Amino acid sequence: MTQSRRLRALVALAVAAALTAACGSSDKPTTAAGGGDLTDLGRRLPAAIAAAHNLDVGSDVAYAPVEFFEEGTQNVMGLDVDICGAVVARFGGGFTCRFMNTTFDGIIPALQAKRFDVIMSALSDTAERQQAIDLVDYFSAGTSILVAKGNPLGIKSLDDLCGRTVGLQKGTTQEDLANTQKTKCQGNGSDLEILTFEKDTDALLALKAGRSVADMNDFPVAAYNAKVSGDGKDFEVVGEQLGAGPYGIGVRKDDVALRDAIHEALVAIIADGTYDRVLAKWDVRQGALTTAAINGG
Amino acid sequence: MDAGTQPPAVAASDIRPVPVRHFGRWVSAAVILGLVAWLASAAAASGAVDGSVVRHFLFNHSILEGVRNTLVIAVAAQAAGIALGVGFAVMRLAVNPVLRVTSWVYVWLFRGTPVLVQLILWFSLPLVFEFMAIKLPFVDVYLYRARMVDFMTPFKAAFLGLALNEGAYMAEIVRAGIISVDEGQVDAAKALGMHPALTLRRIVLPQAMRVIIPPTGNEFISMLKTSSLASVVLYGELLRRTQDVYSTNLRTLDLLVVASIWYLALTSVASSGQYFLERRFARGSARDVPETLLARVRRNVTTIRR
Repeated sequence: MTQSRRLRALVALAVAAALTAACGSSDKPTTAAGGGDLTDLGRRLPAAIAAAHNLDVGSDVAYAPVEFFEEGTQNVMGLDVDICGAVVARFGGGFTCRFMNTTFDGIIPALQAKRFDVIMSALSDTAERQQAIDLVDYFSAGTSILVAKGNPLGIKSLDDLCGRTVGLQKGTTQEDLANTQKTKCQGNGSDLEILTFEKDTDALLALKAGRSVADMNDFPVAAYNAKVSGDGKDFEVVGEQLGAGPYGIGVRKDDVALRDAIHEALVAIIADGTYDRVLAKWDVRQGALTTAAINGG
Repeated sequence: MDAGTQPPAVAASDIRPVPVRHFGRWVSAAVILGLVAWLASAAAASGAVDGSVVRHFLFNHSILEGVRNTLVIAVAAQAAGIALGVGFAVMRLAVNPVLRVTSWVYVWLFRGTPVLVQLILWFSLPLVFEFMAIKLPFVDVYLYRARMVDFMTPFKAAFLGLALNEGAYMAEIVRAGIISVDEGQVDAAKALGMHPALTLRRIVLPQAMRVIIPPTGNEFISMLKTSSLASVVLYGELLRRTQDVYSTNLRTLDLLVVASIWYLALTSVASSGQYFLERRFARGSARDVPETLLARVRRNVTTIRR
């Protein structure tokens, strides 16, 4: 009898221990607050963000040179990282941006679920996305077509893709562009097969393997891919940039104070030349905006 | 009788034993080795995989962290899966119909949906519940309270998804083990005055282990690889870390080779571990305990045949 009671007590203890272990731990990283006082602009931020001296940024970190991991490390770098840094510098107090990796096709729901404060992920400002979130525009990028080196099929425009297969990342503006083109091809009695992938790197692999004849992505990314993949021997960019539109910093609709503070900071860094220096660093000055609109796409 | 017709006597020392020659073995080995060499050289000649890139990233810090995280999630999820499996298997065999039905529904639900779907659902839980809290009843005191997005980290989502799925499979494995034990053993334990819990612990489970261990080892090896699915919920395991590298340098194939080498290393170690576990639990049933790999190598090396 004592044997069974001891066993039961042991089980109860183990269960209790497991419960506390499961619920007690909180692996929330501590952010160092400090580094002086906030500016007037910084003080207008929502209280929780102002207190943390940190902006949590959701991003699909697999889109060099806009956002990517430094090779072989977990350090996030790129155009978006530097623009975010320049924006929060306007808030004072040693303010930081913490980039948090996420998947692109789920990035807007994740923002709405408050997984982070804002999203910066080479996110095009479109009317459709404006239904769900507000976008503060900070860059302009069109789509480039990427093909195998030497362009064996002589592709120069979207119309040349009719009757062929194109591979691209799921949920991107390029997917919309390809779908529109598909309808156009079908109108001409042809077709366009579209392969969509989780990541742009998967689309690149499909192109390299000959599964598709072209990949479409934003011009800075296409240029980077052509330069880096196979030491520049795999791909080349063809034709003109298509349908240039702004990238926006995504903010929740009810986060008006945060949206306005980011907008004001962007206007300031464009005016004082910081913005231009960041774009020059990543060799993408042709995408510069002269004004930072809200929902301007 | 004519003595001359008798065969001449042969001295035992004159017999020269010749082992059976296995020409088939030599030929098949040569053919297979040749084919493998041909495939390997053709793949190497294509230049699709750059050995120097593979070597450079094999011991990269970020990749090694990924290996560690894969081990952590696989061991944690498998351990929790075994605990859940034992619990639900016992419930399934209980007299109490509520417990039986609960266990059946659990296995039905978690074995019946893809683990990838389960992982994404756990990770998306913040869309359903905004807060996670443990509150004392009747008073306004919270033992724990957090936003669900802060609580449901990639690790926890991966752990819950993998462990609950594994628990359902383990429940079936443990149940099979328990019912493989002869009923007479339980009757004998009853006759000796043991109550059911003690019978389970002392009599049934130790004998069931022999049946449970081999598929459990198999499950763990499978878990080492299945844990790569946790990459979709952003847990920094081996595959995710590999993707992080190739999304920057675009050396996709080289990095996937790096990941494969590490997965093979992990599963090889796990397989040999399983072998020794099986040896231990074979005591008392197998007449001869199977020899270890080392012992077999030693025997084959020291008794080379001509």
